[in-house]
Amino acid sequence: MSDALPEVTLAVDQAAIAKYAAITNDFNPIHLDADFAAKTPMKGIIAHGTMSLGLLWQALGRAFDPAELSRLAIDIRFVRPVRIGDTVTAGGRRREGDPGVHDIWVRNQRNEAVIEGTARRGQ
Amino acid sequence: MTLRTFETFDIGRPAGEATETVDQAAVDRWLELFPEDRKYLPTVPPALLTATMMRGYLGATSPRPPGNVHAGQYLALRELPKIGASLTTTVTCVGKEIKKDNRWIEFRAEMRDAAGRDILAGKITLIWAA
Repeated sequence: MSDALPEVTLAVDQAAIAKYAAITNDFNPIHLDADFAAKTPMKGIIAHGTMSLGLLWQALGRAFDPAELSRLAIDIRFVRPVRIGDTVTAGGRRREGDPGVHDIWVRNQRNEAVIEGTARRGQ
Repeated sequence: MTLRTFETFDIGRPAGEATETVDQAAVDRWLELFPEDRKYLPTVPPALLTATMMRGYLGATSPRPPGNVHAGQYLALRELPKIGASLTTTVTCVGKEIKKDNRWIEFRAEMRDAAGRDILAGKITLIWAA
């Protein structure tokens, strides 16, 4: 298997956020209400963190079969919010010297980390 | 119902549980966002399973103050259940502290099917709004 995970990209717009809100039943106004979100420390609407995590699952799913995925542990931090208009890309790379671990990430169009963490096999 | 503020959670105590069924309609909505996940059918795609765990967590901890921020996530996938399976997520507070004026809280979330089989284990780290 390649050291690098196949990358997967998602363009984030209000429609995608609204769809995700309906799927997860998460109608936190920080994701949907511009006036409310503007008054929070996030200073505006942010996408659900797990939507970008879903993108990471897509990248992992291109590299691992379902049986391998069922022995995977993911540990991530949401390091930067995703805004409407962002394009986010999920990827990762096998860690040198530790073949059971991939460093995984989601980055925005400015190559800034949105999610950082690890995927560990054989958990 | 009492708003689930930071003070209402005690470390080590179950915060609640909720049961969800991932039906075909939910899968169809999911595939509009992530069409590549069609390859997992007739099992539930891993990312949709994660989203279902989040639905369970939200159901178990309602009503919540608006504006909570999801800061971190740990997930250990055990099994991909079939579409239509009844999945119960049990949520337990396993940590809370105030750091730099932010209310940090950590929940353990355990998803099992109707037969009690482990499906997905997780830890959810949040900054609680109130």
